[in-house]
Amino acid sequence: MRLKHAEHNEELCLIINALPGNKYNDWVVTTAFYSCIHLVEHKLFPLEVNGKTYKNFNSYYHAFFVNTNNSLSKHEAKIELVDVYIATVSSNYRWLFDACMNARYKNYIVSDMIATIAIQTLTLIKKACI
Amino acid sequence: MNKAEAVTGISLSQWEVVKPNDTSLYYDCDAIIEAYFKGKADGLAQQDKLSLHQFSENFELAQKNIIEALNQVEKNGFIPLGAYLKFRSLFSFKAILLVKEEDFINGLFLKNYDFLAKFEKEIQSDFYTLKFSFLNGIPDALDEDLMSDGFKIKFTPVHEAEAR
Repeated sequence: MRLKHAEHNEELCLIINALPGNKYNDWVVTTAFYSCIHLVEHKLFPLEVNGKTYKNFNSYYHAFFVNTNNSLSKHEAKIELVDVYIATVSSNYRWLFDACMNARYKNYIVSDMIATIAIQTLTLIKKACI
Repeated sequence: MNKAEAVTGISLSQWEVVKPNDTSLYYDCDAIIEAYFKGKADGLAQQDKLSLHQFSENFELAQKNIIEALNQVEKNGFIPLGAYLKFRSLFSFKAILLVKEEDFINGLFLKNYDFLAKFEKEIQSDFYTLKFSFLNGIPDALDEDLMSDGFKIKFTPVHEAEAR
């Protein structure tokens, strides 16, 4: 299911990227990242931690990050999981997260180069996850 | 000795911590954080005083850690333009480090993320979390949007602060 959703978002990413004029670079980056979210969940789960198996990310997140002093956002918790279990693309995943999430502070003006790297990053993460 | 140096006790040759003049802008409806910045611990209950002490320690640590991260980015060969800090709770902080786009798109820039992943784990405790992210952009142009999103504490290179 996660993989299908990842491919669904990847398809949209590539469609937007192929449109003339590079007008939607912000959406290229966003859809690339939201494809990667599902790719890493596909790779990570089910996940066994301390002898207990977590079927999906939400059950894992609820067990470790809800009602704690140091509660992380779901994105941050996922970044930590990628760092531990898919380490080869950890820095790439984090770069894409920043490119996506912080675009709002720049009025969603995203350069062609960042959009290009976002797609390269998606390709890299896909290879690592399937 | 600048204000940040007085707080952190470390040598800050490069960075100044810039805080809003209006103390009401420091906090988001949190009595503990408000008391910290207003220096009014007297009216707090005992438990809240402990929380105030914890927040005070955490805030000092966050400033020190952000400056360490900025320095490491520079050691890695990139130019940090500034940073912003947000309080998510008494125990949880978030920092955004600003860099140039030409640095952000450089393939070697990824080594900064390798550093941050290790650094965040090293500094984390049961009562303190600081998470970092990078943003490519010009500090002053981003002030309004970042401030409105809770990033109230700004880190500015000292030479720029002196020029103002």
